[in-house]
Amino acid sequence: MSASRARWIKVLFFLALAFFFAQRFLSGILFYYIGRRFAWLVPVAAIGCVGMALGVWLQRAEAHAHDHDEDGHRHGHALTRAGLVLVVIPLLLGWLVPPRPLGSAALATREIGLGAPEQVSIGAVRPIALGRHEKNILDWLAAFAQNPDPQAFVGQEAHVVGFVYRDERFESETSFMVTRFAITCCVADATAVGLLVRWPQAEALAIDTWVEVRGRFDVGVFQGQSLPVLVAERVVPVEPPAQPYLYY
Amino acid sequence: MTTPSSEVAAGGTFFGRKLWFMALGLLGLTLAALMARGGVAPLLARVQTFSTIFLGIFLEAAPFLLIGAVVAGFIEVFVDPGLASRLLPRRALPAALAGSLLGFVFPVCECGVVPVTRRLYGKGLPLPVGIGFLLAAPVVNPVVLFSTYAAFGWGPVLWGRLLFTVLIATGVAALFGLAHPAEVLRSRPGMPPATVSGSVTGERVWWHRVPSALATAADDFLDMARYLVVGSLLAATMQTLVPQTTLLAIGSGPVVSVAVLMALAFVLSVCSTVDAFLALSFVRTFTTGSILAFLVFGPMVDIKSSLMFLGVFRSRVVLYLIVLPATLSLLLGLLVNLHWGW
Repeated sequence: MSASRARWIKVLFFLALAFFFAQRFLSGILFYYIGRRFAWLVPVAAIGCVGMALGVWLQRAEAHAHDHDEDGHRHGHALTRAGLVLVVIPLLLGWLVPPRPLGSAALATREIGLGAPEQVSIGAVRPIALGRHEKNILDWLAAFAQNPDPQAFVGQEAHVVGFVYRDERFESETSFMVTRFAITCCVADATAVGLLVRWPQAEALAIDTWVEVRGRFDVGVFQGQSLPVLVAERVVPVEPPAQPYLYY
Repeated sequence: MTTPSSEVAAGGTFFGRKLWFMALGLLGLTLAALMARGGVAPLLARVQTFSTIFLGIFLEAAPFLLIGAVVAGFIEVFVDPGLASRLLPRRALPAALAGSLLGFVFPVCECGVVPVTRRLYGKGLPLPVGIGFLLAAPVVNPVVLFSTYAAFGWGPVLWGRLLFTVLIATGVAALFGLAHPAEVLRSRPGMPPATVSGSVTGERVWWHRVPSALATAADDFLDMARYLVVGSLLAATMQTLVPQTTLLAIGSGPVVSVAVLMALAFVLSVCSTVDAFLALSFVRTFTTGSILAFLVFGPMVDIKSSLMFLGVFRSRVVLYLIVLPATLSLLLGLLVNLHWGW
């Protein structure tokens, strides 16, 4: 493609990328993809993209004024049609595929953790000062990891939010798993964690429905393993939380 | 830096096309495999999963790629390369070490490092400094260490990556320091035609050169983003299709895992500012030694950088520049897995 057309495409591309970054950040959809810690870099990148678009545009004006021939050549090379198709893929996937946080579909290739991920059991256990009601699924699994005796949790009250997961391992129609994905950096390192829930109407709950579960722990058996099971007193469908993932 | 375009242009287009086919192939394969598992509703859910993982890696990585590109753009336009050459030691070992740490002064990634090195050689940079810089700078620089920290936090991966890279780069560079430059460098390290707004011209006010720096950064970003996209597609495909149990079978072998991830690093050619985020995909299934080898070897040598090496060094030397870091990375990866048990 001609040098001037390549420049205009570049300017447009960087503006589109800036818009994409800003849109993901402002809508909160960004948290479907990456963790809180470095989310601020995305709006910074949006500003950077605008800067680069300006740079390309201003240099274009300059090149015309000074008639710098070699300049046009240099920048013409950087953009091939094939290269353009590649860099546009993120925008296409972002805009055409309806965004959605990781759900049970992602579990097809993953094991679901009935124990806490390794790192959690080592360091990230929350201070005890946190009330029981504030413990999320990850906190509970960390507690289970610290005390391997499931009897110790019998009668303790829990209140957690997660999505419904069920597969062929669940023989009974009265149980499901309340599940979250836990991430450290972004979804690339996501690991699924869940609590086993006993609930008479479990069958009526569709997979991937977000629910709030209140109940007390009892000892149950899952695949020959004795572990704490949350006996639900109340299961209410809820809106997916703004932060779909847990962090550790 | 895009200046090597004069020689690498043909290669660039060639690779552009190859990358494009690779990406399309990956997309097609993923879709076909997802279809084969049946049903439209689950298909949509799995495409969404694929898209979420892909964009997760891309959105986490893109800002770092951008920072790296902008830094390289500003170095290209504003820094006089002659200055560094005058200040640096010439004896083999100190020069090699200085070269390995030079990345803190010129924070370039692996895509920027070759043109910068060539530019510095043209200005009389001592041979071992250049080789140390070439091998280490893509890791030993603030941007890359920051992104590695973002992905892995403080721990063996961050420190191991820094330490091993400096170790290997210094060793290889010191070795070459014993040779005569004429045996190593191409007879005429073909300097690219003077860039439009090189710092040497300096006739304009500094802020007149900012657009130039940003436009250079834009080209760098576009060049490197292609590799990031293909790498992220591959990682997302793997995560959506390959069961973790299968990965675990490969990834838990202390020797096989290292070899596999090194080969992957070579093929993917992903920019060092963002490879840490791709490595995250392997955290749960692969050995620490293999992840370190991926993060140490990949930035030093990969398809795209070894092609660019040919523009600076004699072909025999390029072979050593690939084999030596590969052997040393493999060795260190195995040590980590078999003896140190990180």
